[in-house]
Formats: sequence, structure tokens, C-alpha cells
Amino acid sequence: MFDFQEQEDLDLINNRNFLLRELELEFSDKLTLATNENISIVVSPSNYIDQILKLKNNFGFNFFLNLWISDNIADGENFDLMVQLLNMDTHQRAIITCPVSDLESVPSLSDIYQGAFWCEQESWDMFGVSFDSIPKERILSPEGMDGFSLRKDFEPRPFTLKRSSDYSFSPDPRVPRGEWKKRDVLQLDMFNGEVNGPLKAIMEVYDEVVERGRLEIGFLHRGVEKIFENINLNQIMPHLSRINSNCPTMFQQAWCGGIEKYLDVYIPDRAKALRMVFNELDRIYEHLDTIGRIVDNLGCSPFLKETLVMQESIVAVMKKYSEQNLSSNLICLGGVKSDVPKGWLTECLNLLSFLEKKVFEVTKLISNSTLWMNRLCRFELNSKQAMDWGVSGPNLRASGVNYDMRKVSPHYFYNDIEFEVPLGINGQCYDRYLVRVEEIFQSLSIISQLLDNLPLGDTKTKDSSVLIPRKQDVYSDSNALIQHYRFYDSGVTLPEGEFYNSIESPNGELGFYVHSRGTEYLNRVKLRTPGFYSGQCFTDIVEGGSVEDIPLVINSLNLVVGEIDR
Amino acid sequence: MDEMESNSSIISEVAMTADSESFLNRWNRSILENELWPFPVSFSCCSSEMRRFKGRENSSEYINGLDVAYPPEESDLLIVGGTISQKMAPFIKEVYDRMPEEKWVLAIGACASSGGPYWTHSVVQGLSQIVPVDVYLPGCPPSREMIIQSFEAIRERVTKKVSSLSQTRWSLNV
Repeated sequence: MFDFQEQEDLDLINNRNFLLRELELEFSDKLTLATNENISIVVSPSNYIDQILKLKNNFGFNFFLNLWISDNIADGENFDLMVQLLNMDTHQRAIITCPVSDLESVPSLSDIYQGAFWCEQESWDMFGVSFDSIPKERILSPEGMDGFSLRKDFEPRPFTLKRSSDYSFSPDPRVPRGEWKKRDVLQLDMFNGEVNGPLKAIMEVYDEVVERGRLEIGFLHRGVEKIFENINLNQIMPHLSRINSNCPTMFQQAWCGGIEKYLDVYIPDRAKALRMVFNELDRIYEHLDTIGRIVDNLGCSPFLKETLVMQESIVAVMKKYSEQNLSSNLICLGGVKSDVPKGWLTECLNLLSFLEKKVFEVTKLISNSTLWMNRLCRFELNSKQAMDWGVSGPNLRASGVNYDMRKVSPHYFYNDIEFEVPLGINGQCYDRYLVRVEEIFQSLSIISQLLDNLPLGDTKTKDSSVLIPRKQDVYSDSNALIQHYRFYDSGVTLPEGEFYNSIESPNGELGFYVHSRGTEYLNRVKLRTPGFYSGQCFTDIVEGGSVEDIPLVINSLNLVVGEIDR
Repeated sequence: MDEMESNSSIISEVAMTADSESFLNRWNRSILENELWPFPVSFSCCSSEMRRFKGRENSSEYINGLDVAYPPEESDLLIVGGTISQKMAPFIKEVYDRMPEEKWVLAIGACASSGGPYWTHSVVQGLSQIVPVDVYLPGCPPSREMIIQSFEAIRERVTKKVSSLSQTRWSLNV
């Protein structure tokens, strides 16, 4: 019998090898392979733009993932500019490294990939590396601060805060010159819980219609990346669940999974399955939150109560497991915190049936109502725009692009589990809403399949490089005592090198880039949070809407400000 | 029967007076004691805890008006939950200044109380650096019961007409 799945896998491997051979011919000694999926290329500043154009046009790296700077003062060099691209056919990620300095400006990528705009602005904000045609404005840090905060030699000094000046749009070339003055600039503060976090929208309005708009971010900038460079790996763990409190285990999974892959630690099957259960519960929670916020914006408070009750029931079940609040340390290095408590599986199955019934009831009532359709069937984002901005996750799938990391580069048991990837057609708010509803049902089915076939065995690895020894062993075994001391003194130390790990979070691709020098502190941690890229496409979506729809647009994209600002 | 008695006692307390000015004062005070008009400024993790608290059916037993957006000029309780960044601080100060003379402030969570785990250049190390705070609520995030307790503590201060604003004035002899 002919097996389609096997044939597809073979095709993928062939395609990957073909691409690798082509790249080797092109870049020869500049190319290194971390794994078959992660490629890194070093280019020189003189032909930086040419090489990236070549990668985009000839080698199919058409999806922009990330752009960041790494400080190399310890090596005696200045800065490294790093660009990460994705090939959506072979699912390979390439990191392009280019040495730059803060003295001369670097050619901008924002004409090739639009999503690079905020990244390049952030690079100036954090490191002082400027780019052509990118305004030198603080994007995350407070206005009036001196110094660049992510540099190694940065010393915080007290400063007087400048209120950010009123933003004015550059004249619109599409409009005749006489009509420029008829337009007003409106600023909308969203600090009272209309959206998930503090945001400010700035719009150019003519006759109550928004002509152009942009978001101002940085109101929740906490400097997580700076903190990560100054604490050891154990101390990083509790920070992860607080970046986006709606899906704490997603960040833990992306972080721990990456370190475990890098150190080559074996994880027991039971821990893998349990991690997937937590992740999918988080996905449901986040999507319910999105639906609840959209409902809240439209003023249908009875349905808001329903979604909050559902979220509450998920939190109750998670609390039973972790004995903590929502932001729990359930996933730890080397497995899961503890084994399943007694009676938890039954409770979780009850939760699934409750959620399935309730979500079906609620969405049946609102999905086809006229009010809902009228308000939501607008604000289109087509697939080309979405790919250009680097939008990923349900927002990308709502535009009709079939790309789900659980399908294309599956980790753990996503290969063996049956589920489907829901797709939208137009990329309107309504599509984004429907994709999320359907994903809730798919997640429910994934969890029930996992719980039915939950593997037996340990929930923690026996590998001593990441494991905290048990308390009894510490008192009796000298090796365990040494390990215990080492673990609590300096934490897990990573050997010198770099890695990137990403998973499919409820909002899109969530990734961690980590660079270690072999000491207990990391040299550079860069978060690839999906909201940072979905936030930029607000500019394209919002045209033609009215001012009161702004929170609706933001919630349909599910922008979580904790994620964007870091 | 008990309800009737309690109602009549409130009415007698409020209405049994000949002086119109003191009547108005008492009326205002009884409203103030029975209902707070909050202005919630919520972001990051603690806001999700507050949000789910709002969704509870009996949340109005503890505090009213969490889902109504009063302007700052009409509210008397500022609730701040979440990390306060340097960029955010002027906004909170502005809201506080716009609120009327008798006002109370509640800081929810470790970040709003003391900066929490974020000891960086871009985070204000506690709400008290910007405005005087009445009740600090520890926890990261605080549990449901603690949020309810903090509202009770605020209510107690309101009934006794104690606020940290008046205390700071008293200590400075302003």
C-alpha cells in the first residue's frame, strides 16, 4: 500500500537537503548547521542587503521572524546584528549574522520585510545602532532616558521623564495638498482594561473615519531581557510565567524545551504528555479570553460572564494540580513539577465535557447573530500583508495561510495525535474569531486523546545535569548533596554556544534565542513574542474604521501588552 | 422585619434633622460608606485576576462599579494593579490629581506595591513613589480572598474618614 505520510516526509527531507546543498554552494564556509532545521550564515556588512534579498528571492526564505542585536564587548568586537528568517516550504530557520557598529547606520530591512520596522527601532532604543530611514525614537524605553539599556556597560542614572510629544503623521501622499489640514489627530488611551494591558492608539481622522493609525507601545516595558542577563537559570523560571499570564506554561515549555534539546536531556513520555495537556489548556484559556474581550467591546455582558466562568473553571483545575495561582511553575527543567494528584484526571475530563458544552452553547448564540456579523465582518488583513508583517498563529491562519507549527515541525506527540488546522478565508475580525473558536474544539480533542492514552512512568528525568535531587537523598548521598549545592548556588550552566527554540503559542510563534558563554549567566536572551509583529499590522487593518472600533480590532488580534513590551 | 428596622434606622440617621446642610452632609456620607466609585487602572498579570473577580456573581457584594467607566472627576478610589513603568507613571499621577479631594488608593500586587521582581531602570519601584497609598496588597498575583479583604480594609478607612493623603498633610502641617 502506498503511504502518503511517508512520501510527504521523504519529500520534505529531499527538499531540505536540496536547499542545504544550494546554500552550501552559495555561501560555502560562511554556513554552519546547528541542526538540520537551524542554519546560521555569517555575512559581511558590505553585502548584507544583497545576501538577504538573495535568500528571500532565490531560496524561499519569505517569512520574517526576528531581528536583534547582540553585544560582543567581551570578545573585543562591537555588535552583531542578527536576522532570523523562515522558509515556509522546508520549515528551516536561518540566522544571518552581520557585524555592525554604532558609529555608522546600517541599511534598513523594512523595505524587504515590513515587520522589521519595530525591530530596527528597538535596536536603536536598546543598543544605539541606527538604521537608514528609521526614526531615532524610543519605542519601549521612557522618553528622556540617556544611555542604551541592553548594552553591557549601561548604568542606570536618574532622569526627568519627558511626556512623549504629540505624534504627527507625515503628509499623506494619496491625498491632495489642500485636504491635509482637514484631518485631525486623535489619541486613544486604553489603560482601563479595554485591551489586555496599557496601549495607546494614535489615529488620523477625517469625518469620523480613521485614515491612518499606529500603536504606541512601551507602557509595560519591564526590561525582562536585561533581567535575564543578570540572574541565573533557576531564577529565570518564575519570570517566564509572568510575561503573559494568560498562558504561563507556553513560555515555560518554549524555554525548558530549548534547554533540554540543547543539553540533550531525555524527558519521560508521561512528562511530555502532561506538558502538552497544560499547553492546550492554556491555549483554550487564552482563546476564551480573546472571545470574552471581543464580547465585552460589543457590550454583550451576559456572554462575558459565561466566558469568565469557563476561564474560572480552567484555573480551578490548574490550581488543583499546582497548588498555586494561575502563574504556576508546573513545567520545570527535566519534566513536570509533580505527578498527577489523585482524582485530577477525572476532574480534567469533567472540565472538558463542561467546556465543550458551554463553548458550543455560547458560540452558537453569537456566531450567527446579525449584530456580531455586522460589527466583525470588517478590518481585513490579507495573506500577503500578514506574511509581510511577520504575523503568525491564528491571525495568520485566519488570512488563509496553512501554517501551524504543531503540524509542520511537531514536538512530542503532536505527530501521533489527530487534529485539524482551522483556516479562515478573508482575514477579517470574524475569521480571526471563528478560527479561535474552532481551535478551542481541536484543543479539547487533543487533551481528551492525551488523557485517554496517558503513558505510565516517571514525570521527571534522571539526568543529573538538570535535576534537583530529592531531599532524602541530600541527607544520605554526598553526590546528591554536591549537586544540590551546585544547583541552588549557580543553577544549571549551559556550555558555550547558542540555540533557538520555538513553539506554537496561542498567539503565534513564540521563540527563545539564547546565547551562552559557558558561565552561570547568559550573554543574550531574545524573545520572539508573536504580539510584537501582530501589533505592527494594526496600521494596515484599521484604515476605514471608526474610532470606537479600535479596541475591537486590537482584541481580535489578541495583542497582549506584557508580551509586546517584555 | 429586620430589613424594615435597619432601613428605618438609616432614614432616621439621615433625615431626622432640621438643618439642611447637615442633612446633605449625612446623605453624602451614607452614600460614600455604602458605595465606592472606583477608577481601576489595570495591566499585566494582576489585572487578569481582577478581571475574573469581576465575573463572579457576588462580586458586587464587595465592590460596585468595577465594570462602569466613571471619569476620574467622579471617582474616589484609585485601584492600580500591575507593573508601573516609567512611561506609565505620569498618567497615574494625572488621574490622581484629577480626582476630588477625598480619595483613597489601593495598590494590588507586589509590582504596584514595591516594584516586585522587576528591579530595572524602566520600572517605578512602588506606587508610593508617585501618589500616597492607603492599602498595599501583597502577592504575585494576590489570591481572590486577599482582594476581597483589601476592599474591606479600604471600606473601613472610608467609614472612619482616614486616608493617607490627609495623614501626609497632617504630618507635614500643611
